[in-house]
Amino acid sequence: MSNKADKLLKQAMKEQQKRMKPGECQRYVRLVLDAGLLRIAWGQELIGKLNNTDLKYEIRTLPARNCIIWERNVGQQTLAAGAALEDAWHMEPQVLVIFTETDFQRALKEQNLACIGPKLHDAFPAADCQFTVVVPRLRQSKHSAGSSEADALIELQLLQQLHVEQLAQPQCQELLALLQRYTKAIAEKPYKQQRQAILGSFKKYLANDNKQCVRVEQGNGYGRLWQQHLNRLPLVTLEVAEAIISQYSCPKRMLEHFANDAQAVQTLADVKIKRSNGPQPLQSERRIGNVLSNKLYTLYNARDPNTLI
Amino acid sequence: MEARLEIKLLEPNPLFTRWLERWLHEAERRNRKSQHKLRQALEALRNYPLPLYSGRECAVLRGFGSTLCQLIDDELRQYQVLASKGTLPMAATVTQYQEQVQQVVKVVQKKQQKQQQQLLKQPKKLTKKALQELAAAEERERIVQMCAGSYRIVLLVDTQETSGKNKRILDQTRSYLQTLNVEHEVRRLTVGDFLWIARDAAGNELVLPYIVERKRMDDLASSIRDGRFHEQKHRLAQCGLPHIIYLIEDYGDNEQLGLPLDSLLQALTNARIQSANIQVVRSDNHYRSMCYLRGVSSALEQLYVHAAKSLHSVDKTQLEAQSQHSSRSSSSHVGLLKFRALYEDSARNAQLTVREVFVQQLLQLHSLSIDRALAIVERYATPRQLLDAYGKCQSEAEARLLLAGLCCGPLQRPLGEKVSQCIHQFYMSDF
Repeated sequence: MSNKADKLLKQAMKEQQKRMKPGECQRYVRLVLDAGLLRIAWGQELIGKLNNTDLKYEIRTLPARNCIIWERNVGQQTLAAGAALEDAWHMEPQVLVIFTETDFQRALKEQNLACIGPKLHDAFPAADCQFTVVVPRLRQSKHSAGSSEADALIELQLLQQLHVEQLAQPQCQELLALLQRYTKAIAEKPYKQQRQAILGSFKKYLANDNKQCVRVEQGNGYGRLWQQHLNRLPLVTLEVAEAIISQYSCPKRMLEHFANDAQAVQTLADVKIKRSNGPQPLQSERRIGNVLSNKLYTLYNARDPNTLI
Repeated sequence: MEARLEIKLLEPNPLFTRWLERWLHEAERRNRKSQHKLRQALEALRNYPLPLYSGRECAVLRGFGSTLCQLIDDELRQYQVLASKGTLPMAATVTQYQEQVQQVVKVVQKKQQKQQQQLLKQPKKLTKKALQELAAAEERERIVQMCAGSYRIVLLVDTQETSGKNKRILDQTRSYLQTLNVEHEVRRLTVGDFLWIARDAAGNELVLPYIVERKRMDDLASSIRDGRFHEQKHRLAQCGLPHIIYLIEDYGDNEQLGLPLDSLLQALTNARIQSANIQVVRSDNHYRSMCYLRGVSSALEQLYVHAAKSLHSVDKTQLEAQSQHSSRSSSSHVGLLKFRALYEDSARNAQLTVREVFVQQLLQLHSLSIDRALAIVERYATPRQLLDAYGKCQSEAEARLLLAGLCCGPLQRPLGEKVSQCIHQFYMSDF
């Protein structure tokens, strides 16, 4: 019995991973537009343009006027014997609110921009919901440094933690492009978050290091791999790595030396580094040094992974 | 260490002193003439610090004439007769005194040795460097409190805030900020381009939870192309401040940037949507960017100074917990990071752990992805742990396949024989 459940679980995982893949994932995300948008100046135009794209969308009456939200098809999660597979659409924690020019000016005049945030939170009470306010692009005169409009937007951003997007003209076209970008970003979000969960646990950014990867085939390439390993330490430059390799051509030799010889660390510290510039009168660091030697010792002998190098 | 020992007897000559006291008392009672001399002698004896062992020795002292000395000697002879019979304690002798002195010296020497041992156990006198490190550690532990009204908000501008390699941009930044009357200070920052701190009269500095990274469109394009963009995002996310603002500045018409404009906008949207803490703000030009910073500065004045919030220092984990609990900044007591703590923590060359270096090393192998490397490190967190495991294997064949079965990634795929053998060969064979 457990085998069957395992199998199904694995299948579910596979399906989930497939749906996350960039490229595939956009098929499982759709827009939901509030019916109120049909009535704004360029609302019909927007719908027309949407029909020309690949974006899936629905029109509904949403809890807040002129909103746009996203829903993801997560597939069927529960096992029900004999039930047809239904599509389960979950709402994504993203809400866009469209402000037309008139709406925005009115809100500014009546100074009730401060209500926007609380109203949205009431309409969409999900805890981690992010809100974006879409407004027409401000016309900023050259000489006014702190226009009240700009300050109002900053307040929206900082005090109410709403994101602000300004739409240039033509607004319909710009909004469409924005929706396309947002949809793509939202669709790929689970995939990115999965990656981020791994990378985020390390202080250093690890995904950048792939340029010098070593291909090891039929026993060749280990030497270069060893050099790459040594280069991971902050203090090791090319010349230092070469000096270490001249002493220990493979990790096995270094490990054996550390294990068998009590003076190994000192011996390693005294290994000379050949500088490519030739002999010079004033040269201070021609040896590997105690610090690096000890770091190497720690690296290959510590059992506690949190030991600092 | 040589020391001078000064031994002072409380009562160097108790016996003789008592006798003299007795005789003086007698003489005073009978009002004899001898009382004056006796008095003198007694005083002299009292002042004399060394022990005297006979009447004749007393002759050195003032007031001791030959008669008095003789009297003392007679008395002493009688005393010793009585003492030998056991009725009185023995009088002190020279040898006894010397023995006693030796004993005292021994006791003192023992004490000295003990003290030295204690000193050795304690840390030796601290060097200047050690003292500095101790002071720095204490500073890190200290909790800073700033009550409402005791602090000012200052904008910090990174010294390297340039979008080219010239100082001209920095000068322009400063001149704009001056024109706009923004209180600012130029300082080396280890992360971000602009920060705000709350500073009190004592010079303590707490960082407000907003960090700005300014990027001109052409910078953005080049940093995406060479991969710096993601690394920077990562470092900003790691610094601990909950609100990251990407201030994106147009570059002319935004044409000829090195990447299609749409790609850049998508990258920005991705940053906005896929990270919880990032906001993206667009501005037309350098001046408008500075206007934005001015706007934020005054909004922060409102949020903190006018709202009379009181501040206290917290560390990164506490800050994270705080921002998870209170979604909006409504409380009047806010915990913030210390500037020094943020500076040191975000420095590029901060120390690495063995685990981190091990993962980086494993990633050097072409067929090892991050998922796989992580699966290995989760099981064997350091190279030594892996090598120990190899050592415990019964056969080489077993060791070669030790890692093959490890499950990697969300789909739990096994690592595979090839990679397992590769790693084994790397660590265990000669080449």
